[in-house]
Amino acid sequence: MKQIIYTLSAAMVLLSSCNIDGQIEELRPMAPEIAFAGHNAAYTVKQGRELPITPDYLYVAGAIFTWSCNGKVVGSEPFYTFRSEETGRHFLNLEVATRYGVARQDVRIDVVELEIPYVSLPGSENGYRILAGRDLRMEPIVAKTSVKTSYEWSIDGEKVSDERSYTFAIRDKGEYALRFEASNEDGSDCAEFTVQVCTPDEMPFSWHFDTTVFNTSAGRAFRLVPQDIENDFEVTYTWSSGGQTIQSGSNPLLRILPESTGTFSYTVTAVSPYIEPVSQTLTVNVYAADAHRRAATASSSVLCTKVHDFTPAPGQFISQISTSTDPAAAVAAAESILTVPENYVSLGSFGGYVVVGFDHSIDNGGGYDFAVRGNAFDNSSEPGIVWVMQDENGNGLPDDTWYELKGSEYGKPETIQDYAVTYYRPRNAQSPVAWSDNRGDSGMITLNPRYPDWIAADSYTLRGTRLAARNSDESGSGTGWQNRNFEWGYADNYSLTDRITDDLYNYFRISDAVDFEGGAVDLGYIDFVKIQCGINSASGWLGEISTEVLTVKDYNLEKTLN
Amino acid sequence: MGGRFLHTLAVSALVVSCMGYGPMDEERFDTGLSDAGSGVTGRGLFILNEGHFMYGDASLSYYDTERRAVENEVFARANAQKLGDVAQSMVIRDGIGWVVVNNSGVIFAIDANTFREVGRVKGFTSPRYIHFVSDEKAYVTQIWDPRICIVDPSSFSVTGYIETDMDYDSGSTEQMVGFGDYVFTNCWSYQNRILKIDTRTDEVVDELVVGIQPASLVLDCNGKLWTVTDGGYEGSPYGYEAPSLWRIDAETFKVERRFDFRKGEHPSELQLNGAGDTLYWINDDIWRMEVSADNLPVRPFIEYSGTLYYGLTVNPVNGDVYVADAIDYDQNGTVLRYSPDGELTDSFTVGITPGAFCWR
Repeated sequence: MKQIIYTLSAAMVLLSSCNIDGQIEELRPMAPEIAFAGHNAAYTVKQGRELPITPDYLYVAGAIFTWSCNGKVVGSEPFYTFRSEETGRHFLNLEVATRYGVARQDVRIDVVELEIPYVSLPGSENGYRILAGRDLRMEPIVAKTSVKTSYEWSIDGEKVSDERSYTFAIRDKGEYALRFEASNEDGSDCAEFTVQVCTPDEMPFSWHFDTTVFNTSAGRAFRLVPQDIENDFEVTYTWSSGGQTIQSGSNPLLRILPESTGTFSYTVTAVSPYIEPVSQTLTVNVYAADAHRRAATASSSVLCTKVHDFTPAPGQFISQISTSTDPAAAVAAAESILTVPENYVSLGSFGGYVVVGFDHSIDNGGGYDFAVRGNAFDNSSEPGIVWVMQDENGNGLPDDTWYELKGSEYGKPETIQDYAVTYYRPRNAQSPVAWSDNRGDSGMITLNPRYPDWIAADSYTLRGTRLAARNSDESGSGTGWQNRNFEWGYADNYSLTDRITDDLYNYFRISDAVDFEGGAVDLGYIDFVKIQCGINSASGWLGEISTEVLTVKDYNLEKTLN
Repeated sequence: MGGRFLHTLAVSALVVSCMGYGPMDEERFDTGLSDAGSGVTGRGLFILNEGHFMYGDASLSYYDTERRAVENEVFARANAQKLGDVAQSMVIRDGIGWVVVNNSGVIFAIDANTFREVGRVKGFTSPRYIHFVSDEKAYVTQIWDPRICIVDPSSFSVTGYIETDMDYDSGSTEQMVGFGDYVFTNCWSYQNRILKIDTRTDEVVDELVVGIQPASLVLDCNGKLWTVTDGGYEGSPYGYEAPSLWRIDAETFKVERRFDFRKGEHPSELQLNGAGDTLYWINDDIWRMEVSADNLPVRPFIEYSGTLYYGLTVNPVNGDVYVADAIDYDQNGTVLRYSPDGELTDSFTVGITPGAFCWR
């Protein structure tokens, strides 16, 4: 406002003058002028907030001021206060008219969303139950904002911390109401939940089975094991089949080596001093090995012809593949990409996978049998674990047993089998994606991650084999990230061993297939290939390490055609 | 349509297998502009399509502005070989087009009329732009290499280097403009400077600090250099600031004006019209501003509409504006042609990620 008063009073005369070399020029009439000191008449304001627009003027005595928006006059003062709830770009036109002329100026206002510090605390949705005497560390994710955000933790209404993270350490048995609030000038958000401090008998035992029906072949070692077991204090697992107890103890895993074909039923019962017995019956269909081979014909495709499943982990390139909420559409999108060798699907962070099939079986020729095309180059490797499956029940679906192809890292202490990561849907699309693993670690994918639109659940778990990350910033300043190469046996890996041609393919041997114990599996052929991102890490501005797959080809068949 | 404007004659098949794409036939082209030499007619426009990084699928397109007809993959079709990885820039001199293929580390010299290769220069780390000082000398800027290469176009060879004080991790020189005996170049990646090179000694003789990451450089009709910075990016170890447009007097090598954008904006692809009196750039939308303007414009020349504008040029003869839409950096891109008033008058499909142009 001060500027206006100054400029108006300075321009109370209709005539102007200027002083050149000490001489006063003749006074003459001047047209009005508009100026926006310090900027170019472009503003940014948050939705719902008032924006005073106060231009500077010259020669505006007796002027008529007209502010208009989309052809409609909205103001007639020298200044204007803009306000809109509608985000996006808005334009005003300012016109200043005097008897000596007219000045016009466009004014642009970008209305942006309020920066609410949205809060998410994965795992808190149903509250926590912890064993008395144990701490509970909580690290909420708060949407990043450009304005200062403050935090407050309270227990049963009493403030206990103003830090973002908090460790609950009350030892007394009972239920406590916790509240975490993040607030800034634009608003606030909170997470409210309970923490129950329990004795062992109050801790709910739980387990999980992805499926209750398994398909395998005679002569191949197989395992049955519950997943995601929680609170199994002093639990005894008893496996029985055909009315006979075949194993009992603290080990939940049952190893079986089926010798004959048929359908077999196994029941596992968990019991402890703290829980009532709980049971689950599983069905195992055992087929003859190598019984459903589909021989290649003259019209068989070298490249994979079908995508059966596409379940990436969150990552920065997921939405480029599909933004559909329909899993079938996502699979179709991936199939349209992978059945030609020129584009790729990104598998996102650890555990993301794609399952492809062929119009024939890929024979085990003893050497390299098939190949996966990636986009690795030297020190830009994002290795994917390769799994193979034989269509043991012959139904054309990948519902049989997966066998990992061992690579150079298999069996090393730093390589983790049965690793599992759970990803949590962020509160809004721009937020980082939180994850937690089955080893007690957690973190966030921060570089523009996209939670796959076609995954309806608010969290999902991906399981597989994790390789130790080999990424590092060689520059020390964040500019020289390298994802170093692995020796052999992985997709999208710059291997000097298994990239036998210079066309971005890594080649694989079916004879490298191993069972869950690491024992060699004799597969005469395979029908399905799964590629799964094997690293849980990110490389600065490059983002999460994410296996990329262009296609999979039957190398044996290709050789017969050349 | 393409058959009318370009005489594409399939000749005896020279079978070449490259990057697993299978054999290609060699075709003959004739733009009908063989007498144009170095003169810019505004009748032909080369479009450089970067392709996917590391996929070796860069390509060259050619558009006849009068017949409104485009031919794609003209380099590959004329030479029975793929162009390479990341087509970056192109300059025509005396009827020879010099196509800089960044990640392949090569500059192809092609007949600008037939698109046939007449030579190639190799031995670069990561070439970005070529600028001719004379018939015997050209400079080639690089990224990930602090040296500017000196090239002898007649022998297609690198003959020396202009040393700078940058290192290999963050060394970067980009676009070049000549002014008298000097060539100016902007240092973009993790840099903030304009270098002044004496073409008589091939040495850097001065430098001027501007904002973070100056991405373009042009010289207007008044002898003023213009550069636009991108300001870096959030989390960048080199810093992050509001991007800005700078006017620098080429004679005095001093900053005259600075126009600030807002933090988070991404101005790029600064261009001039043929008269050199109007600037154009991309900042989501397409913007233009007279070089004499006191303020940045507030209304865009061509509005952003869910597009991914990636390349920009202005026909130096008639002022038509051409905008490359990379769409998603994945599928074939589109070039949109606008009249000087901003009316869309044509559009055509080109290769993957079109990013640079060169006028014939």
